[in-house]
Amino acid sequence: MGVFDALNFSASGLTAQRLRMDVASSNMANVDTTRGKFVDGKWQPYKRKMVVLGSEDSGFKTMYAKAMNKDVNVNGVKVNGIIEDKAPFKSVYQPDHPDADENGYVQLPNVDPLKEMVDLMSATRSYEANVTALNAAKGMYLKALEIGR
Amino acid sequence: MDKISFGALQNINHAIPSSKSTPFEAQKSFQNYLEGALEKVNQSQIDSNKATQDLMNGNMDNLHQVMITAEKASVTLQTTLEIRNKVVEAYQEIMRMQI
Repeated sequence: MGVFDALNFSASGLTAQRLRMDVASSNMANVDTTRGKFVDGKWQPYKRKMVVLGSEDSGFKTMYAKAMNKDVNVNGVKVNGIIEDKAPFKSVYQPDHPDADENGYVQLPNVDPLKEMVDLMSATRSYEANVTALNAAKGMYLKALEIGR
Repeated sequence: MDKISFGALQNINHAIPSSKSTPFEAQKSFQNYLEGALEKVNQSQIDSNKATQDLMNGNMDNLHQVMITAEKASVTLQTTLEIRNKVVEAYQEIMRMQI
């Protein structure tokens, strides 16, 4: 374990939570986007995006620990990918909409503003928690410098 | 972000003179060790400066990375100061010795 590992883990957490915030903001902004993607000559509504987080596997270090039969798994977090929500689109009757089908229904994105608000709050709180952990780690380093003073 | 380690501290054994080494050699090895450690501290300051500049130029999109780099630089510098204080304290203790 290096001296600044705690700081690096917290940094990875902060980056991940910021991405979650970005994605939630994007979803929220595109809540009414009917032209998200152009597929086979037809516009598809925006699809809700979700962030998948995984444990950061720091390559050689983890392999070495495994080879030495040490089951240490202290890692930061990394973003595995951004996936699209498979939920069906909302269908709203709006015949005067330019993207309405022949029956007068418009396909709206599968974004639920309530869910996005919860995601935003969760990302904010997790970010704060990571900052607190980082400050605690820094406090420990500084306390260690006071030994023998 | 690359990790900052106190790897130089592990080589401190080189700084301790063995029974055979002359004072000159001991002085030289301690000088090398000190230079290495200070170089690392300086590097962390340079990293911090670069991160701040990148943020100002808009090349860095993560504010927290800049802050953490700055914190790392601050902590390493404080460690250096603390060690310097200890060295000066030891020196003054020796100088106060009655002969």
